[in-house]
Amino acid sequence: MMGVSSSLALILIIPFALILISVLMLWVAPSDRPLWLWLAVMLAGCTVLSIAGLVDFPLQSPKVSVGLGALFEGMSLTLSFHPIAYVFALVVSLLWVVTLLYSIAYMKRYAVPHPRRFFLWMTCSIGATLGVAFADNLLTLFVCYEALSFFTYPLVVYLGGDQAKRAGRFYLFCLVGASLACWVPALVMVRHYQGDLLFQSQGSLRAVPYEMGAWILGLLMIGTAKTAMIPWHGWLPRAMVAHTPVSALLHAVAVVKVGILTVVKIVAFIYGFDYLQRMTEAIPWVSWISWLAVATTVTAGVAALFQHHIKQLLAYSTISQLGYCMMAATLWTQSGVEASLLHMLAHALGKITLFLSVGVIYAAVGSYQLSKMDGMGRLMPWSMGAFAIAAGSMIGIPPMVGALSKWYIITAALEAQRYEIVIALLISGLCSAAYFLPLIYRFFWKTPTSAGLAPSAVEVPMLMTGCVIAMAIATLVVGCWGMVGVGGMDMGWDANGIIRGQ
Amino acid sequence: MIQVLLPMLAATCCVLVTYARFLPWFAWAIACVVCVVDSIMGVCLLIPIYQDKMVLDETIGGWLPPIGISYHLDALNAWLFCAIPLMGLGCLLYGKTYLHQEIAIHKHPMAYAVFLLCMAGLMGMVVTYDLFNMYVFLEISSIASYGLVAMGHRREANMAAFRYVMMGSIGALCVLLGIGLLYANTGTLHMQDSSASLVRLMHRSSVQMGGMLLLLGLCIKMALFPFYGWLIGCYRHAPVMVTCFFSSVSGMVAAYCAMRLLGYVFQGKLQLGALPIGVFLEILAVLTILVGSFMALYTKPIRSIVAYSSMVHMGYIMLGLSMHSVEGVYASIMLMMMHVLAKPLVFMCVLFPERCEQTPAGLEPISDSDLDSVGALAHRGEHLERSLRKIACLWALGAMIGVPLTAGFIGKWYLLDALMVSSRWEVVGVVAVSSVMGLIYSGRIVARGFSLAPPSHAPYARKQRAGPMDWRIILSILLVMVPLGVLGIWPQPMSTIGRSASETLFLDGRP
Repeated sequence: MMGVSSSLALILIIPFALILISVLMLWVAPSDRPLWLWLAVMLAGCTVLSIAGLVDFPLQSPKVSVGLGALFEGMSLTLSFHPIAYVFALVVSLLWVVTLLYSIAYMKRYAVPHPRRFFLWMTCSIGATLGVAFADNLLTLFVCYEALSFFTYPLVVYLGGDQAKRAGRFYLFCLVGASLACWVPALVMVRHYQGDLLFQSQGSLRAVPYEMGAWILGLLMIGTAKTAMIPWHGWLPRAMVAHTPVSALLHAVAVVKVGILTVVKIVAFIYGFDYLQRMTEAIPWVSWISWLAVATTVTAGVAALFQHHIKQLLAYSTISQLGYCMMAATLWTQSGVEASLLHMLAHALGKITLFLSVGVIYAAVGSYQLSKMDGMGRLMPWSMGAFAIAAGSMIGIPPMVGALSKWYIITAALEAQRYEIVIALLISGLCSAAYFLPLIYRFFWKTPTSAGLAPSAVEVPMLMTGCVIAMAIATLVVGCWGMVGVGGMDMGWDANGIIRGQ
Repeated sequence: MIQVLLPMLAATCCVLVTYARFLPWFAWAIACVVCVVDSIMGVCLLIPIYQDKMVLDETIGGWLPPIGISYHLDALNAWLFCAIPLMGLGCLLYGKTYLHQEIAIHKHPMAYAVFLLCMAGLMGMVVTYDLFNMYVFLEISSIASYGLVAMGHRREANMAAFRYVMMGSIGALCVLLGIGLLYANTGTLHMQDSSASLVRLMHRSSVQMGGMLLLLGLCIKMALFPFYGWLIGCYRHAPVMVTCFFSSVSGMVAAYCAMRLLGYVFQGKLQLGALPIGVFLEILAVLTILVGSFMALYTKPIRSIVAYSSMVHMGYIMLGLSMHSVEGVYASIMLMMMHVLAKPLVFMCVLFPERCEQTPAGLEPISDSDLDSVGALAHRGEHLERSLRKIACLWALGAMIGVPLTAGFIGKWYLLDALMVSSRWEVVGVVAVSSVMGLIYSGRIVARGFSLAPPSHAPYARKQRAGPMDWRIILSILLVMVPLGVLGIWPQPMSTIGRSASETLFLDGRP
């Protein structure tokens, strides 16, 4: 039941096998003792190493059909290597290890029940995310995409209570409902017109008439609710009822980035840029997708200004930043897609820092309300410093990594002469300055109201603070490195730049 | 065919055993053994039929077809013929514990006898190649079904059975009239012969009328849109064992008959005036899907939700049939196979018998089934049974919605594919919308079943949690869940069966 095109391809399975081992271990582990959690972290570390070890994987890649064999005639669950998948998987799994470390301290600090179960679902989710990254055809991608929705659901409702349940229900309805209603027909259509669902480097959907291509594209884009574009944006703020590590890893990195990665793969490998550009010329209204992204970016940026709950604020900021990625991807150019990927990674670094430091603030304040956080920067300068750095990255202040990716998006948009995207970027950038800078002012310059502090204030585990600081340093270092060697950051199809370590 | 006779004879034995008071489990054992024997014989036939393309023809008493009755087993019906006793076995295993709480113990042998009779009728409908014989078996299974539904212990069961009798009799009457009209035109009851002569007679209005009456009767049996009322009551008030069995095969047998008659006997050429029958079927199917989905959203009891969802699935199956193409029938058969397994599995997972107590007037329910199922999956039973129920319930609901890697995904995939081949885009939209509604009402089942906090007024308490583990329930759930899971990730057997079945209907074996 397993087809392998060469024995080398088996290396691709190693990360998945490690994740499976970790899941099994967490499942059968007899107790909630920290030992098992640390073992899970170690296995996660091994997973990262095994992904990193794929650096020299040959590009004309051998493929591996894992486990299940052909799901239909001529279609199977297949994994293959691609530089984009490599970079994405590496970043996500690295952040995963950091988040697991953070979670160990977090769970202990808040006495969260069943940490083992928490780790279990976290690990499953990352497995599905890696599956999306390494998927070789649309069907595999879809299966992993759906699996991710179901695996993250228990984490969203982890807190219990009516609010969490309602949020969980809405979460599943948006993510699974959209993909069932739109993706399944779209997949059948792609296979119907194309004969297969394979990803090809120049796009595989060349024989389809433009009108039909536009319909399929529309269905696929609407069905990808994980990008949190406008009709579906509601699930992201609601999912913030989850614990902070979940919001940090899944709802700032894994889940939403899977949405963007899906869009990028569809644009680059199913359609191809030539096809899309000619299609846009033939059928101008296809650009509604781009306009949707513009609208999402601007409205989410404005909506974030009115939030009083810090996680909600960050959620709207995420939606706005996802809009950047979508705008860049819907330029239908190679430079646009590269910028989109780069921004996706930049945002991942910045946003996870923000969320992790929010967890630290919560430890001290006991509330997510902005008004309770006056002067926290003086009490915990390190974490709040990290928050400020990451916020800078979000706004796009050099030398943080966010500035770099924004620069690339603007360049790509100017190249394609799409000025509305540049304007949207500027508006949303101003908005993010308008909600992050007052926050930093509040942290560092307002006098702390001691009444608001929990009695155990500032007793934050070192591990949590350490993770936050490490992530902030990463944001800075990657940014500086990219600034110094601009041009080395192309993470293009030919896998130059950082992928080959040049 | 010995497989059909066996349950009939065994039913008689069960009745005789009624007088053997000292062996209360004997009738159950007889029924189980019959199901096991039938299943083994059926499974042994599957390989020659699907791999070597064998076709089995048997005549009763050596009388050749125009006069005698012949039985015919080919790729189209062999799988269903094998599935009926298998599911019967599953339901018998599952239902025994619950039957104790639903029916007084001295009536059990009778219940098993009627159950076997119903099974024999359904198997006969599947295997017969004679139109009138099909009607006879239809009546046998229907009358047995009325009895089974009426055995439900609540007062509403009688009303449900009465509605079922009324609708079922009208349906059977339509079928009988239709067969009569066809016989008057063709002079034969053998399906192959009548198919050969019907080709030339399709323009006659009496043939068209006969075909429409047959179809109407089967639509009532399948509970398509305007005729679905009886189904909901039956599923809701029948004993647990019966609900599981009906949800699994009884609708599917009617769907198979429609497939055999419309696709084979009429060769898809049946029309009313100038309108081909496919248009009617498609409209009926779409209405069934939409109405079923809406009703499932607006109804409260879990049993009714699942009942409406089987109505929706019957709509999908008819949709595949209405296109009268290889792809459409292929999709229908894939969906039928999924439904045979998934629907009873949902019932098996979420159903718990209502608690009754012995009163001078007989058994009286002391709880309401709606309240009973709240939190049932999270609180009832042993740990192992509970976990199994949870997993199986999620898996079956996933299959019903069409989540990837479940059997339902493949069925739905091919249904959409078939719709696109005949470019019916608006119907694709209907299927997509109903999938989303399916997600919502399945979510409700999960939310209620898994609810962690049982309402304080729920009639069950700690007392029911204790007690020895019931291996029969675990075994029966496994019996259904394992094939469903395997077919989801390894669908080759399903696609082989579906492929050769649809080819039987269209390519070879044509008269």
